[in-house]
Amino acid sequence: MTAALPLEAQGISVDLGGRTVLTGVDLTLSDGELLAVVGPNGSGKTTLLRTLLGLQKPRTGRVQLLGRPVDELSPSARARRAAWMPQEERPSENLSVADYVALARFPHIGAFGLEDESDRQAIEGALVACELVTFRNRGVLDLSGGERQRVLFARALAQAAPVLVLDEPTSHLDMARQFEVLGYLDRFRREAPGRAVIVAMHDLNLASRYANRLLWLARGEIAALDTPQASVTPERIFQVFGVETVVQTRDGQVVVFPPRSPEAPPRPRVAGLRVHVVCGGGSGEELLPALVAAGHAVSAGALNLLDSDQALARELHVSAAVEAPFSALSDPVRAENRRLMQSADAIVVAPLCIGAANLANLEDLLELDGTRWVFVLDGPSSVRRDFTGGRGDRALEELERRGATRVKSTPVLMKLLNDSSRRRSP
Amino acid sequence: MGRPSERSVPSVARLEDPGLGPRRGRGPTRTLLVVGVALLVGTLASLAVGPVAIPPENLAYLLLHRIGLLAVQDCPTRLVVDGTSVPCSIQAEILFDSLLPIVLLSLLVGAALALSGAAMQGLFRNPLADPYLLGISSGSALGAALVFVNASFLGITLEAGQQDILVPLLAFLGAFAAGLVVLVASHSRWANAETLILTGVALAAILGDLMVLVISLRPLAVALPLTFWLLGGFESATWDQVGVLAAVVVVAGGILILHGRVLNVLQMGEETAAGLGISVPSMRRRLILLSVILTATAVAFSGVIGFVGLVSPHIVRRIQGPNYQSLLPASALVGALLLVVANDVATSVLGGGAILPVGVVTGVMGGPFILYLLYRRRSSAGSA
Repeated sequence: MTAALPLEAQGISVDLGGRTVLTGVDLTLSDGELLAVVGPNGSGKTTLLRTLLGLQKPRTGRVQLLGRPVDELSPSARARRAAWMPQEERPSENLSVADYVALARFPHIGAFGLEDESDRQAIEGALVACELVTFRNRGVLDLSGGERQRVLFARALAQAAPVLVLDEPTSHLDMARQFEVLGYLDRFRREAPGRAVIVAMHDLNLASRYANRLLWLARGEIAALDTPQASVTPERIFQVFGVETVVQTRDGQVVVFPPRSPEAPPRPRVAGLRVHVVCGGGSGEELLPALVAAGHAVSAGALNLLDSDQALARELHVSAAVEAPFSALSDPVRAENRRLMQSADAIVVAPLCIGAANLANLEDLLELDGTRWVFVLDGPSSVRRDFTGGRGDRALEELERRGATRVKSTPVLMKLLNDSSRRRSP
Repeated sequence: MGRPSERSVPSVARLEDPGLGPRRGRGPTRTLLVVGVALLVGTLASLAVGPVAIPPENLAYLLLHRIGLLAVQDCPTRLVVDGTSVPCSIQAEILFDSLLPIVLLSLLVGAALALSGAAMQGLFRNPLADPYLLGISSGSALGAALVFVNASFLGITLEAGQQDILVPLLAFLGAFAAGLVVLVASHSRWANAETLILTGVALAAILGDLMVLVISLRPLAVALPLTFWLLGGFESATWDQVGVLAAVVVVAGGILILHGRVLNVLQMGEETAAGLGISVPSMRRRLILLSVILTATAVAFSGVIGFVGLVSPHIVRRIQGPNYQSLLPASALVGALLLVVANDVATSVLGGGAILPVGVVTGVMGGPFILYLLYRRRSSAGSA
């Protein structure tokens, strides 16, 4: 006989309060798999997980946990097979962290048994794994949201069940803790045969990084169930989440980020110029607001997502060509940036650091035909740095040789731009 | 996640400094020991107070003599009350027929109410829950009222013996019936902690009004003995009552104490409890049943004594934290101690042999105490 699958569900439909929450969900967790359930709020993620655990009775369909129908298992037998980490919990007593994690052993000890060595080891192991050893005597109600979430995770681990079912286990955690929890789950499922993890998540990037497959839930139905590479597409994300995104793949890792702010509100043109700013890393933080305030139509780029200038551009509704975080500029983004530069009356090179990633901005600028003003703005002498072994500085010199104006400070630049825009308008 | 990281450095430092972070209280074993000794001392001391103060050496003699450890035939000290000498045999009568059953019954009632209160607070996840939460007090009051009223209605003068049996019996039945209504309600698919509490509140109101109706059928004089009975007391304690209640406390209370881990799990919410393998509805019914049996029996013998069931678990929480595995037995001991002391106060505060209803004493002591607990808790560590 072959080993039973960790989890199997067929034709699951669930009604809650007279409303159909899940319809015809089929899924199979294979040995060692980490399955991420993604979908918008209210799509039925939590209900699905609860149904898989036997905590919610489905209207139709059946669930098998390690080869046994879940509704035939006793509550404690079920809890020894699958551990459940709910999204949130409001304990009514201020139990200590150690007592709280110890409760995970209930299905093993029973109501009236005594803790033995294996119970103590499971509890200690979970406390150590979640770095909670020094918290053992703290009251759970005295912890922060993130600390309490780690306690919940530790409890799920101490339950020592082969199947882990987790509902947004990282929602309150900082980035380092998120990686730790997901990394732990990743090791957990590989360590021994018969293990599997199913986890509801909101972060598509993390889900794609750690999960073998993604289960896309939309309005209670499976929209897709496939590997991240095959299923994370802008179309799918729009279908499930109703939002436009940009999806890229780098070294096999799927990256999802929002598109350039689509609806920049029409800004009254006070005889301004179209000004494109080459910035990044905060070098545009003075310039961008000043230009916008002066009534110029401002664009920027190419910027990396999560860069402070990108965030600022977004805030100011400045259109920008945007690249994935911490990545070199790709061809589509460069083309977008060239388009923005071509349609500008003036281009300003902010006092930015030039590295391999953004050198392309200057190269593209050099290739433009010379019908527009180009300004090279100096910051404090220490600011502009070239990390490209001279190629950046040479590009700037070449710009100046071709007629770019070197400007000492933002006020001077603003004066030049305002004068020329006044001259232009009749 | 076990790898060393920069973050773990400050927490290791914290490990070495026991002064940081709130203390989780004394160990449960030590708590039980300390409270147990206090209870023993309190019990013995309360034998020495009261209308007839038997000297301690005589008490020791009488107790040892009764259990056959002492063969001497007379009390060591002469006891003189109002100029008359009280013979040793009378002292023995006072001790064994009056003092001891009273003290033991107050002790057992305290333990029963405190256990029930702790279980109710845990079960309903509500710090203000008490043994009478489910309308039990009103049920017992109605039962007792029926005896008092019906007797006068039918023109029967109850013999003292009859009343001693009928009042507890109907009080128990009334209380138990009220508990049963809540138990039946808990079978409903809508049953959860909130609906059950509200069921109890509604039931208490209905039964309370029924009692008023029953009383108002008869002259007001009937209400007086009923009022005194309701306020609670142990003057009519008998060894039979002590025996019955002792059996109930040992069996039902013992089973309840074994459910400490279950109550711990229930503190995390019904969702998690179910996830950990507890069948919440059936466990809830079991705990309600045990609690109702304890409370109904206690009420039948003592009347409605407030605050002990509410306050005792809170005292224990302050001493040793909220772990129900030790909270339940410690609450029983604290509840027993509180009622023994309350009974001492009730019998001695007025002087001249006049006895205050114990319910009045617990109310006067317990009301301010619960306020103190509430506001001290608010000001410490913010655990609301």
